[in-house]
Amino acid sequence: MRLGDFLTPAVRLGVTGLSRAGKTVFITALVRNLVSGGRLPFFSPEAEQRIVRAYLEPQPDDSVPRFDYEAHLGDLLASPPSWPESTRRISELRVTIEYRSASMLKRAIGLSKLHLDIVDYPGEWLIDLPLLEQDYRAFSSEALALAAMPSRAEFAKPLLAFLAGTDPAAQEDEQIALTGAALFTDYLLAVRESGAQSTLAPGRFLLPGDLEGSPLLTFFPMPLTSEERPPRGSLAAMMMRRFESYKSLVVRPFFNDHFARLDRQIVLVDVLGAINRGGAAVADLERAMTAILKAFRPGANSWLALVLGRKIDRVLFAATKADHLPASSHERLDAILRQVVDEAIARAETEGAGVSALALSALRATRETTATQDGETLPCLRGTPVKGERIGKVTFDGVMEAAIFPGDLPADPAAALSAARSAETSSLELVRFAPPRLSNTISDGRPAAFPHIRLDRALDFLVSDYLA
Amino acid sequence: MTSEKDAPPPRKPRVFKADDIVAEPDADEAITTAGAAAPRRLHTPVPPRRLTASDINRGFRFGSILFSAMAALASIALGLWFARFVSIALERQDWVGWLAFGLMMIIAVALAGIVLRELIGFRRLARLANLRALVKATIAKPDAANEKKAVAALVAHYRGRGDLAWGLARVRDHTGDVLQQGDLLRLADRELLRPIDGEARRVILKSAKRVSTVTALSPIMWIAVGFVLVENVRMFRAIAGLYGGRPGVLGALRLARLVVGHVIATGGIAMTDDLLGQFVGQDVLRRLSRRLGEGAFNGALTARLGVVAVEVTRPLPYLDTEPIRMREIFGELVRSLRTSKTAKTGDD
Repeated sequence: MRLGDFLTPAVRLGVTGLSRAGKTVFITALVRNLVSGGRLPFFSPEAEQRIVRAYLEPQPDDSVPRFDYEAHLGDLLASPPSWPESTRRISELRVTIEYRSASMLKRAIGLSKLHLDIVDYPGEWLIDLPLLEQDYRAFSSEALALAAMPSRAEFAKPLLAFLAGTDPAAQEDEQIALTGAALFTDYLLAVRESGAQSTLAPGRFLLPGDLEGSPLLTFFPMPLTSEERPPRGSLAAMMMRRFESYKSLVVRPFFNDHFARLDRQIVLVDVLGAINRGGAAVADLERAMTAILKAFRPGANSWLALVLGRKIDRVLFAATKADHLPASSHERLDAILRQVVDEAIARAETEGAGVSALALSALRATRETTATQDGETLPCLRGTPVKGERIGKVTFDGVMEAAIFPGDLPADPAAALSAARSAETSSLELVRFAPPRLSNTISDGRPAAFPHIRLDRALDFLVSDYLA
Repeated sequence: MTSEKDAPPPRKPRVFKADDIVAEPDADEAITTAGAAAPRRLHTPVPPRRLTASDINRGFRFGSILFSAMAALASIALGLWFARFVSIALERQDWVGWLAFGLMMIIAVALAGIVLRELIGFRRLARLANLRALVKATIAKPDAANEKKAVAALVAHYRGRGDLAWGLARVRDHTGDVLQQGDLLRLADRELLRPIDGEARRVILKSAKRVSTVTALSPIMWIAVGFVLVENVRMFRAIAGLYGGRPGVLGALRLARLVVGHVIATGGIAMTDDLLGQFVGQDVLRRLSRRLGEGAFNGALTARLGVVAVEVTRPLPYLDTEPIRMREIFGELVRSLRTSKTAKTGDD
């Protein structure tokens, strides 16, 4: 045992994103590429050939479930392959990287390992973090204002009707609370089903896990008129109490035990999906990003600043599923993502944290090709669209391979966003692709590295300085 | 971004049948057409030339006529003598005749070989120049297809090199990947040219050391000058060979012309960048010994020419690798000279 073996540092890399952003695939592909040691030409330690090997190690935190890497890998390698199941809760995986340091000092101490702890958690939980700074009154007025918006009014009708007939000052009643919470949950789920991703509401209402049915999740927003505290024993007081419990028993533990301990963070954003759905989805994504960014952007006098300012020093926003666009459009996707998180980047830079935005695809499901029709040559993607997807009049059966030109992204990111926000049908028509058929090993028996787009650049931004 | 505002409206999404898909054009064909000469300007009138001092001073030169005529006569005499010698030698049916015939045949074959090699050398240099032009065009106007072509051409250029086998394999591994624009070239720069750079640096340093040692030691100035010339041409050949040009002697001389032209063209900038340190170092050395100072100066000159030769022959600009720096090489040269100097004084 050398000194370095006791000093092996651990980096906690948070991977998050709203549901369907591609977190699970991202982690699976990232670990696979690290472990198999291939296809990372722009991950600088790998490029300098300083990485000896990387392997999975037992999970260090006993209270956190392990990220089920093998099962997800099995899904991708199965025949026919399928996309792995989505994240429902927090999970963690430790990858140890053995490397040869470029610094003499590190080599002298014998520092040659780095534990990379990848922490996967739903982005919905991140939306909860701003609740820590809100009281029930603020939460209610914001939630109800959102519910009154035209794009959501339809879903919110039952809830609003129920609220109109409920008196906040009435005697507290569990049945009313249960009914209200159920209506509130239905409304949130309906909003999400419609394609909107952000809710600003308590994230556990969408992903309750084992908290389902507990009083923590049995509250709903109420229109409070007066400024003073509601009388003891009233319905409003009950809601207020449960909201506070939700904060102290759900949000704060997550913050203290997990979020505050992260060193690096990658936020996966499905920009393309939002643009594809068009209209409200884009506006909603922007709102969701604003909410998520609040977690990384503590106010000047906030106690969050004390922890965050020191801890998470690099945040990467990644627009996933870049393989759904031809390579010529990737720069434009970059620009659009940058537009969405623009404010955050500016802010974080003044606070000294590194923030970057990048379009990537953790697992490339398509191949690039060109096709000519009517004398026009277009860059196309070849892949197998998922069953039931359609473009124009063509419906895919999930077996047929097709070459698809998904349309051009507008060159000007601001125009692209405003067009997507207003237009009913976007110029883009994306289909979801089935995972590619991957072979597990290459000819000499070593594990094959999966194809990706710019995964190595993301990795380089996030951890390469620890491997200097 | 502003220039793209008047770009055509976004194209609509489409699905294609298998027949509509055309195969990617073969990347190898790019190299022959790349870097084609600029259109000739046949119709541009030749501007009237102003008279210069040498025009005005030009009179009827009897001296030059005299010397040309004498030289012509001498060469005729030599030729006649040689022809007579050959015919006599060939007429003899004994061993002398056969030996003369055999030697002449060998001379003819060797001459043909030299000419052929020079021609091939020129072709190689031209291919390298084409490759450079293609890469330059790709960098000036980023385009994924052109970039792929350029890298394919680069890979084809270095195909047979055993020392680059790993780098070639690594570049080939990634040609199918979807990369950021310019990344493929950067990868090729790192994987193919970085190892060559290291070797080129060693070649330059070795030549510079040799030149400075010979200059410092040689008793007669002309020997030193001749050696510097020969050594430099040898260095140019070695460098061009490393980067895949492998020219003959004439090719190396042409390269030397390019290098000197480049030095003259960029001299002003390089003065401030590189030569400053060089003169400071030289001053220190000159105090040690005049001879050693001269040696260091010639060595520095050789190093500078070597660095420029790399710039002129390297198919890619330095994208992902550290450029070879004159200052570093010179520093190393001075260090080695100092140690030899102190060793010498130690002996005394």
